[in-house]
Amino acid sequence: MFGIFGEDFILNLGFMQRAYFIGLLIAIMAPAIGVIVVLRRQSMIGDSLAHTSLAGVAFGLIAGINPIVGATLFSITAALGIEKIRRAFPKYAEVSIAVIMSTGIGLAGILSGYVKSGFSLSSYLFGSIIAISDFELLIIGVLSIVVIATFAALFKELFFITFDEEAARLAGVPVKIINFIFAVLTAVTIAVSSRIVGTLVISSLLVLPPASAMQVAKSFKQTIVYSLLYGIFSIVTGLTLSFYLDMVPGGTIVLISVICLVLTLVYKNLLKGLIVKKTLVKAN
Amino acid sequence: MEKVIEISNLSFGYGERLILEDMSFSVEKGDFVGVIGPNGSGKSTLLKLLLRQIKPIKGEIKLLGQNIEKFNQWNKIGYVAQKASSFNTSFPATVEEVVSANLFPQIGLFKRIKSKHRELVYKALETVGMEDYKDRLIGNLSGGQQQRVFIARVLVSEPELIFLDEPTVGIDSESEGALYCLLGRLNQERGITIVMVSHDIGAVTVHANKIACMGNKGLVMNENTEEFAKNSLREIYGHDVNLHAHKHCCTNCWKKGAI
Ligand SMILES: Nc1ncnc2c1ncn2[C@@H]1O[C@H](COP(=O)(O)OP(=O)(O)OP(=O)(O)O)[C@@H](O)[C@H]1O
Ligand SMILES: [Mg+2]
Repeated sequence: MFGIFGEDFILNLGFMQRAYFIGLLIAIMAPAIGVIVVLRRQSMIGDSLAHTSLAGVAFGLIAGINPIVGATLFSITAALGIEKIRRAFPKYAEVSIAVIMSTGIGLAGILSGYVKSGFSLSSYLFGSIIAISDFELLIIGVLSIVVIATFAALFKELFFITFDEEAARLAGVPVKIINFIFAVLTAVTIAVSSRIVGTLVISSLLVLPPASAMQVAKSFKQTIVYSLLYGIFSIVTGLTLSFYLDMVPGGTIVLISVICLVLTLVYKNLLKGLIVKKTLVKAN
Repeated sequence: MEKVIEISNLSFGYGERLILEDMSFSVEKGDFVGVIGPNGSGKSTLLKLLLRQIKPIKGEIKLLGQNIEKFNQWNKIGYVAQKASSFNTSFPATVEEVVSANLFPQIGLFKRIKSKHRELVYKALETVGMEDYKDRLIGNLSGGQQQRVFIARVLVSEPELIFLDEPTVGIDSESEGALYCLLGRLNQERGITIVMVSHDIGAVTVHANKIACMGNKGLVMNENTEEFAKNSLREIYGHDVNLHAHKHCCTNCWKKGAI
């Protein structure tokens, strides 16, 4: 499965290495998907899928299947639901997101009442790096790699559709199919990330790295590359801090992302000030 | 002559009320058709039908000799919408990235843009005089410059037929003249068929060889002659039409960075 390393290598990792391995996959997947989500002005989609994922987690705990599997199934269903409802309300994308969001919250609320008290649903709210099982490692690893590979394959087409859907259709891009695939990719990303990042914060991880990247990038390609760098930095630093300082990983990661965004904004404004000064000096 | 567009007995309405009724006309290869008519006469609706964004209630549309329902050569069709105002100006994409997008279907999945594609993009940008701007963000250009980039995007895949819907809305009159000149040149030199919706009757009568007048749910195709310009336009618009044509059409329309 994992090529040259051999299966044993990955599965024998200590718990922290497991967290880093999955964290790195999430750090690549979430910002990449996030750039498209942000540029489509669908930032809220992350939240509604995350709430539905939480319902899936609760369902998994009740039904005795792995919570990540439950989250993935619920999340994909919700994403397809959003696409469907969106067609009924063209130009009002928020309506479909709101409908699915309330359904997700409602379901999560009801299902959580049936979860036996021994299970900690709350660790899925803010994420946890403790006790990632072999099965979870495998399923998260495989799903993430599939998402990343598919995104890499469709990268150009996603850019075109996001920039100008009508022109993309005219140029022969299979817009409907790609939108459908992208909805599934987003759903999987969110469900899978909820294990260590948590459902409450995963949507910020979709939005924050692209938001920082867009402040400094000078092309679409750079936007993607910088988003990945911001994502990787936030997750690696966040996991490390949460390990040594015993903080919840999701919260730590998101706060670091926020700090990155603030620093980027400050840097950009300083740069702007410098440029203005220079031109003023030149003009005199 | 080869027929690029053939429309027969076309009817369309958004609800009960028909917007177009029993319309028939055809456009030949190499034509430059100016589509004019008062607001609400169905010009944009006709373009939407031709781009298969909406389906006719009755009648048949053929593009490049193929029924539109089965049409699969969209790469040979270019479309320039009224972008300058509706477009997300903070989208982080360079001019080069925007123009190369139209090559993606021929590049294929997984594959990267190669130097031969870059050359095509450069040539298309050169045609519209925007090659020096290729690394600039699309949002940082003026409305007229953006419109030229969108025309380059259409040109890069070498279309046989280009549709434009009021391409000069929000563009200053100098850029406007240059845009019409460019279209005229593409039509004359490369034989590209052009269908342009415009309220600028002056420009239309200078560059188009045919004028399609829309009104009363129909369309009347006229050869563009002086006589037509004088007599018919008055009927259509119900008052005297002042033609200030951009007669001073230049040969090298867009000098670098001029606009
Ligand atoms: N989506 C729609 N739903 C219902 N009616 C519509 C729709 N779009 C256009 N119409 C109606 O169809 C008619 C033709 O509209 P269209 O946009 O084709 O006109 P036009 O000739 O392009 O006008 P303009 O010069 O203002 O651009 C108008 O009466 C308009 O009210
Ligand atoms: Mg119109």
